[in-house]
Amino acid sequence: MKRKMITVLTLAMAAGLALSGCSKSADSTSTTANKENNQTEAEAAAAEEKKTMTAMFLGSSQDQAVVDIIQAVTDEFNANNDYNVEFKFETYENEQYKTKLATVMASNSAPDVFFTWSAGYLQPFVEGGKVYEIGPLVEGDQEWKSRFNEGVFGPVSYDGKVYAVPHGQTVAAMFYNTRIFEENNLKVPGTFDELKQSCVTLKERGIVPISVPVKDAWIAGQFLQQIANGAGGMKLFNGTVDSSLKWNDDSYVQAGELLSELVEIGAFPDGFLGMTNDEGRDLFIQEKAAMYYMGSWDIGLLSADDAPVSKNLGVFNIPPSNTSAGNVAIGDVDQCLAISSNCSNIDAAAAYIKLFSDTAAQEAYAYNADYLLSTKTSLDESKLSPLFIEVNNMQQELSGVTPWLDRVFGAGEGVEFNNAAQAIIAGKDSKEQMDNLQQFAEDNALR
Amino acid sequence: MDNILKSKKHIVLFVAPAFLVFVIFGLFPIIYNFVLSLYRTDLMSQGVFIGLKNYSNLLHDKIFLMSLRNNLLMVVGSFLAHMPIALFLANLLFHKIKGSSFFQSVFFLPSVVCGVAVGLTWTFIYNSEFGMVNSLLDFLNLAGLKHQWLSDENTVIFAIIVVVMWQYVGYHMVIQLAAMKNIPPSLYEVAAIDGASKWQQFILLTLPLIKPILKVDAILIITGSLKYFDLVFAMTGGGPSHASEVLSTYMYYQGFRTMKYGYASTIGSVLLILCAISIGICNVAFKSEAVEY
Repeated sequence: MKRKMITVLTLAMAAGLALSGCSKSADSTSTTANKENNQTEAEAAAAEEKKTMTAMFLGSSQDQAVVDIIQAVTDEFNANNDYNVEFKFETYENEQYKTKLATVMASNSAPDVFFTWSAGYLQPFVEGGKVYEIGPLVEGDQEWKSRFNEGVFGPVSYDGKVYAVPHGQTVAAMFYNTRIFEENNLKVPGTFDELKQSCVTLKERGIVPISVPVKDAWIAGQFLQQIANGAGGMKLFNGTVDSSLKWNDDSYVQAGELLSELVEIGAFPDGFLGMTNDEGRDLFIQEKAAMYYMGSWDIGLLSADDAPVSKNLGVFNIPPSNTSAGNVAIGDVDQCLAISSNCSNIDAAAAYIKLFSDTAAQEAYAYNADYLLSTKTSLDESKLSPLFIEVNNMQQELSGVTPWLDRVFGAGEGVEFNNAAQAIIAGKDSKEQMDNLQQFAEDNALR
Repeated sequence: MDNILKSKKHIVLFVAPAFLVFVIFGLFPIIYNFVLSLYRTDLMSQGVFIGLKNYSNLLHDKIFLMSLRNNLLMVVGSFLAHMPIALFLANLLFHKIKGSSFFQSVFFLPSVVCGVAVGLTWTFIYNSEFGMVNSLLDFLNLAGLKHQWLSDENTVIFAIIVVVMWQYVGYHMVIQLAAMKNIPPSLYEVAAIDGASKWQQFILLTLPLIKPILKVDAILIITGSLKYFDLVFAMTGGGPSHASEVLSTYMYYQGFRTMKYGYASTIGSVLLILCAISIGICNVAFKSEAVEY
């Protein structure tokens, strides 16, 4: 009898082990690329002497275009470089990447080259001395330096020192369906009130006005940030960053109230609180929603040939509620690459990163991955999607750009801002949420 | 065999590997965790020693208190499902109803499925637009009870607890059933001859005899629900607005997201202390003499 019980218990434990093992493997979608299957023996012998360096990038199945660029650049570098090194890279999906980078940084096992977001995301690593200051290398190579647009190094500079190189830019915009707008006699709204009015009209006709799926809090945060941009402009953003203004500033509270008003008039789809980003985008792609607010990284998916909406795309910046705020949008540099301080060969790493701003790679970022560029590379308009050109034009007309708050402030206050936005959109009081956020910011500084 | 077991050398030799693994992966991290909890550190720049400040900060941390509440709710929920309900099911199967081994497998099955898969499945079941729960409520003309289960701060933690209750009820049922099967049948024959009803047999015979196993099971249930992570992480990631945060997901958030590793370690230490306390309580509550039969 006893034996039977032991057997059952053992089985139960084994099941437990299988469980924990399973949960680990199920969400790991990392791909280890770079398998040189086709090398001839001679090449393999030569490769043996080469030193291997490592790189880590963001890239899920949805940004295959970016992964392709990384693969192409890596192949090019490995085929021919003066340093006798070979790069191997790994890509991870967003959440996994954050966990992985935080872990390898804390345990001093960071790869030689790594992808990073700007501002507050990279800051703790820079302050911890984990990132190599790449600025002097770029400065020292005038040809390299001259490739970039003015000001793109701002968001990756700390104390005036540059720690990463950005290879693209993104901007958040309101995408709209031109056919639905025409059929309902709507114009691109010039004021926030007109936007609200358009939502009421669309709602009456049974069309979802704006697809804002907020299961992921950052989408709520992004939307609230843009409304706050329209309420307080660059002054509000700059004040928040240098902490001369508080999170419960009138402009934020007012922005939260405007957001609540949009919820009340039914501007968002049914069940939007539990809707994933993919579901929300689908509503717009299937022409069930008239507008969709998202970053420019979605251009490719929206203008894909098999997307029903692809022929009816337009874009505008959400108009400010307070005209003195100016024409401000959310935007940031993107595809930033940095060298870690325990890199084994700085020159090789710099040469590798430099390849990402080569014309070929930059063209691929624009044509295939739909990134606005951070370099002066001239593009062939015929190869760009019309939506890309429209977004690009919209960006040119902006009076200011505010990077995503959850990037500027990182995971603490930034994420709590997103949570506050999610709570407001779910019906909580704006003032109360913003007070809580300010309280959190003060508490969190002491932890 | 006896010679081997008598020699101290041999004992040390055989115990050493497991002991080493325990020290390296168990004891050392626990001690290191306590040390870290006294610092303000991101593990990269120089940490600042702040004594017990992290612990006193915890007491004012709304999100921490929310996670603690959620964990306690989860302990209560799990205990309900995994003690009385699992015992009831185990007792049914123990009395060899028709197809008892079939039901045993059926009840056990969910606990073999990987937590992330269970989480995803239930996310669909709870979906407010096409989910099974809301469709069922529609069908029963109870549309007023419909909720956005996982997006509503008031319902989300209960929605998750139900899944935990469902997932592991079979697991604990099997443990309890194994304990019951260990009782000699002759005792039941004697009880039946003396005229004890099934209910009396259960209360006066089965329960006292499986008490030692119930103790272990209770410890598993309580510490398991205190440490719970995977399902919450897969279903909501602690959201919306931390409403479904539990201690382990909050610890993960403070560590790997905000990089306040000292603060995260403090949460880890509190978790360990809570587990230790609950083991103590179980030991007292399920005190019993060793039974020989």
